[in-house]
Amino acid sequence: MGNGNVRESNSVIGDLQQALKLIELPYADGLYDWQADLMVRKNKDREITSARSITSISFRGFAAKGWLYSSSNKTDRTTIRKLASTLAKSTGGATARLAKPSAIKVDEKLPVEKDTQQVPLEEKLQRVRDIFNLARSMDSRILDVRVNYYETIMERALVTSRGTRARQVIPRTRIAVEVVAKENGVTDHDYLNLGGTMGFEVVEDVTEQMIRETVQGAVEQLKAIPPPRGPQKVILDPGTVGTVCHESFGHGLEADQAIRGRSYLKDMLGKKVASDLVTICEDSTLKGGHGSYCFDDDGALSGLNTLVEKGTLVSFLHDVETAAAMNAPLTASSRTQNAAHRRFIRMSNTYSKPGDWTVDEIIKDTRNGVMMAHWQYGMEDPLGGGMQVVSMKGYLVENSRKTRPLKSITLTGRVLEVLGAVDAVSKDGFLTDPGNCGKGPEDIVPVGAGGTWWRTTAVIA
Amino acid sequence: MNIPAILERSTKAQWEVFIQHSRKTDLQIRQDRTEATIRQENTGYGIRVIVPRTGGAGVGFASCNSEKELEATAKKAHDLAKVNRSPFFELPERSRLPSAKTVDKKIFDDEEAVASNYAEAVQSIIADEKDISLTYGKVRTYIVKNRIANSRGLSRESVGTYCYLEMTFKIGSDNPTEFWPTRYARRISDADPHRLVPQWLDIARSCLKRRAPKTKETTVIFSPSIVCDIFVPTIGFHSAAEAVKLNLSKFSKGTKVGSDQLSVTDDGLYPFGLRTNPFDDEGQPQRKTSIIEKGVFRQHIYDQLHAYTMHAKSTGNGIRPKAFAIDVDDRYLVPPANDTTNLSIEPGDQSLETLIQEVKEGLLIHHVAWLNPDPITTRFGSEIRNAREIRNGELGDAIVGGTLSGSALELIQNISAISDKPEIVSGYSFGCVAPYIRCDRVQISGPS
Repeated sequence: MGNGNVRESNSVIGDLQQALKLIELPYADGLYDWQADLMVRKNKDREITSARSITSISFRGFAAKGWLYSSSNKTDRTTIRKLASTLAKSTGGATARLAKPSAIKVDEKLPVEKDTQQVPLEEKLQRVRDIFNLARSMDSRILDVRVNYYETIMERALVTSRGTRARQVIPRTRIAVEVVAKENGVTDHDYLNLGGTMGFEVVEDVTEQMIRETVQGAVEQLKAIPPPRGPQKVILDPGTVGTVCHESFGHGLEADQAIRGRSYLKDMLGKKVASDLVTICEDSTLKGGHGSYCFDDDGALSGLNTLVEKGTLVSFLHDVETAAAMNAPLTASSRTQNAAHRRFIRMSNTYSKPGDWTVDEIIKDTRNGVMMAHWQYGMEDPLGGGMQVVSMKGYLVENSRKTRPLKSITLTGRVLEVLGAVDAVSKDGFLTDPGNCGKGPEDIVPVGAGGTWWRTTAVIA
Repeated sequence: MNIPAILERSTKAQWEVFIQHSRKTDLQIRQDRTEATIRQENTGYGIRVIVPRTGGAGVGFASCNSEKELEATAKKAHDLAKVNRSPFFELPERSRLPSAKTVDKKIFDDEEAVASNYAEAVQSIIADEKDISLTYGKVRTYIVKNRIANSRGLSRESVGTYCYLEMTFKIGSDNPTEFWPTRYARRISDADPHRLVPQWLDIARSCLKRRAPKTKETTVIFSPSIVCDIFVPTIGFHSAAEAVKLNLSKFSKGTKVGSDQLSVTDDGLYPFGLRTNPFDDEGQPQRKTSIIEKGVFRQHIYDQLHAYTMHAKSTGNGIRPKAFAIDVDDRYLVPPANDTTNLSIEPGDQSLETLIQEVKEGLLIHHVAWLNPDPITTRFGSEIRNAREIRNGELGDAIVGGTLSGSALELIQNISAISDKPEIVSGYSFGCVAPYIRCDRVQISGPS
């Protein structure tokens, strides 16, 4: 049970379920989505305080002409019946099969330690101001600090023609601190980014030490040098490992892309795709993970899926359509931004499992190389398996010691070559970072990505 | 519903409401089949409230997409304003508006049929291809109506149409590669499938025979969509008055910031430009503002907040930005920001062919993965997805893989030529009118 917009949703779910009977296609479902958020941003110029409440509903049917969707922001009974009637006019169910997740009756809320709804707005603002003031006071070279606080609660309900009636409430909270430093005409910055399916505890847990390290990181960047180009030993921090696992590797495992003939991993199931040290998992139940949920938008219960086991590809990610087409088990990977958008196969929390090394041992064992830190962005190449992973900063590793700070680092090359060359995975430092992911440039869903530290051989652009 | 009366009653302060009503049809296709058909209608309300306070103001913003939540949303915005600390400013008053071209009659009259006909045309064109298949595509049409009103008596309305195209072309069957273009347009003739899709297929076809680049500094000609993705987030950021206020802008009036060949305007009235409208998202008239003239920085752009606090006039640059996760019909969800309308790069007088002929050794880059330059440092690094080698003035092998990297502010100093035919383009960034641009000393890194 959870809060959310209960009174509204119970009535809408009932109306969706009634109207669903109008649709005579072999499979149809109704989705209700309500998302409310609060954003507080502060910089030296001003504060932005903003709140949103967005509702969407849709019906979806699997017809001869593909998936049909009809959606609206209006939730009254007349609109709901009108939307269902639009699909009811469609004739001819699809000839393709769909996998059948068990009909579920679920009403769940992901738990958090400190519910943001119970924290007064003034307290949230004060915390943002305290972090801002603390960071600003730490070094005279700090030009500005941007603190972004973001909380959201998503309530989503699904009814299907196969008997599912499920509702979940997912709270997520994030805090990001970006520190901008300037000296002698050079401006640069660093950031702290925390969050997940968590409550206000994630903000309360920001320590003075974390802020100090972010300030020092920004100042350090003022004297950073460009990274050495070319092939070399590269040590990746957990966030950058997560970006490789998610962006460069994981998007090729979305089975809808495989069915389209748009995956470089299409024929690789059961084959070696990484070094023996690499095990990559997808876990939509990860406690606190930014991409966690109770059930996916096809009504499959969330779970842990191993994608790569000791270097061997063991699973793709599936929805009801691809699981049937590829005769594979469901992985609860059907997700949508909201009910107005199409559902696609998406990742949740993607991470690399810990290995046997300590981070210190990896550095000591690396005579010369580069360390990438604080991932900035990555981009998928599901067909080509190419790499684009950018970190905000890094360090030179010289004579087995972390030395000079480096500016932004771009990893290039082929992802399977980078995974195949992993020769050390740390046992310490596990974390997953919060992020948002698009299917291409659109359809954004919250995800988590991370793992522990890796060392590989790769090309720095 | 009397929205002004509700807002007067709920806020007792300066208020503004931005109402967006949209209807869209989204067809998702693969080769000769339809994967999904999505029809959607939505109305959203974005409310901003400004409450004076000692030494400044409190500004609150709240949005919803349900009429019955309007009063509660207005109260929420007011509650947020009461605890907020920002500079005081006044919302705009009524003023005369320019005219602007924003509606394609074909889309406006039957947006479903236009989307359907476009998808059929694409599928018919691709059906003749032997080595290239359409693995995925989106064809979407929108009709979007915007209304803005505020407590100072301003009330404005506008209508616009859009279409969005995204295609993934798989090139070859053994060791295939991909060309993955996207494009927004306001009218279907700017994205005519019988012109645009063959152009895209030409680029795709050229990649049948390809190789990776070598690491070097070289001359590069950038396609208009790459120019959009490099320039809008960087020149746009450093041109905004907000960046001046934060002491982050690298641009000051009268200083040389780029090559003599570079002239850039922010043109909010460019016919059928993606951000063309008679008024900005705060209700101020949009206009044409010279930003860079022959490499010299001329003027910053202002939204209402920064015009008021920096004692300048608004240039009509209070924009609810289309950003990651924000579609053209979701703009009521975001508060206005100090942003560009249509960043328009003045064309040169040479054709693309001449630009190529003048290059002894270099690249013509059509498409990269995701440029996403850092606005503050302007640094970027992005995988080259589709390019052509240039050797002795002629196009050679296709180049796929490797990385393009650099800094946008350094790049604009190294512009050596600009082509003669600008296009209304989009990439990951939105709102740009750009020709091809040639730059010298661009860093390319090979993948091995």
